[in-house]
Amino acid sequence: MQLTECGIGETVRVVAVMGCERFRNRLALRGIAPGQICTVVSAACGPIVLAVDGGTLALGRGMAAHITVERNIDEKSN
Amino acid sequence: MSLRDRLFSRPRLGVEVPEGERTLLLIGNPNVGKSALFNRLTGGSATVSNYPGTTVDVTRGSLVADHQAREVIDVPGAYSLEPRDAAEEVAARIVGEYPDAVALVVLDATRIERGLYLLLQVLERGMRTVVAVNMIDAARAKGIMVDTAALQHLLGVPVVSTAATTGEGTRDLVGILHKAQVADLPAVRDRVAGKTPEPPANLPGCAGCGRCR
Repeated sequence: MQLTECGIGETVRVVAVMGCERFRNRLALRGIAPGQICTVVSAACGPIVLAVDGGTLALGRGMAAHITVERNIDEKSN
Repeated sequence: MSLRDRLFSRPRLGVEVPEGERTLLLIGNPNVGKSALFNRLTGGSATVSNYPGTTVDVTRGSLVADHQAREVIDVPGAYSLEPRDAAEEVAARIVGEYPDAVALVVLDATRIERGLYLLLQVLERGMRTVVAVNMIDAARAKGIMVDTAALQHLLGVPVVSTAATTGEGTRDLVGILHKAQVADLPAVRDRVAGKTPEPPANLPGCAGCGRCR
């Protein structure tokens, strides 16, 4: 599923980031890379706000649509 | 270089250091405590707040250490030196303007990996560098330990842990500024890969590179 489909309060794990290397690099520097677990703080309308590693990050819908996440993080947690 | 030159090559009282080399640039990701550290070093009053992007312009101050004044520049937070927003543009421009300056790269101890990309970009530019692992108090509260000695050994540049809000470690940081090193990137790569590169033949005395532990 895509990050844009997540509801408020959901905790998800990033599976993949689509896009060019520059784009993936840019998100990775802000803490979004495959394997990262983050919580959706706000997704009602407008940008999606995530809690990542103790900080918050706001992503536009366009960027968020490039991010594939998975919900069931407990089952596969390492 | 003769022994005498080596012994007396450190800047002493009254010895003028070339202009650019006296500049200290505070470089780091947004919200890692560059401005707090700036205030600690200079006694200045840069705005500090707990959210990223507070500093978008340049703040300058001065620091007197080792009997010489240094100009300290608080650079806006940047994730990389390839500018993608206004603050990063300012940061990249300043770093370009002072190639001879000492770069004080500030990392957030609670998420150190995020700052390493920027640190590597600074090292690639061949700037003399010192690393401050800031927010060590917050990391400790979270149970995160940072092995600064290992980081120093890998990078070959001095690494000091600090907590700018409490002032912890800032004295050590000031004391080590004159030991700023240009990183030898091929050697860094070898050390990361587990090899032990040959130390350079003309090692200019102990510079806090951590090669000897």
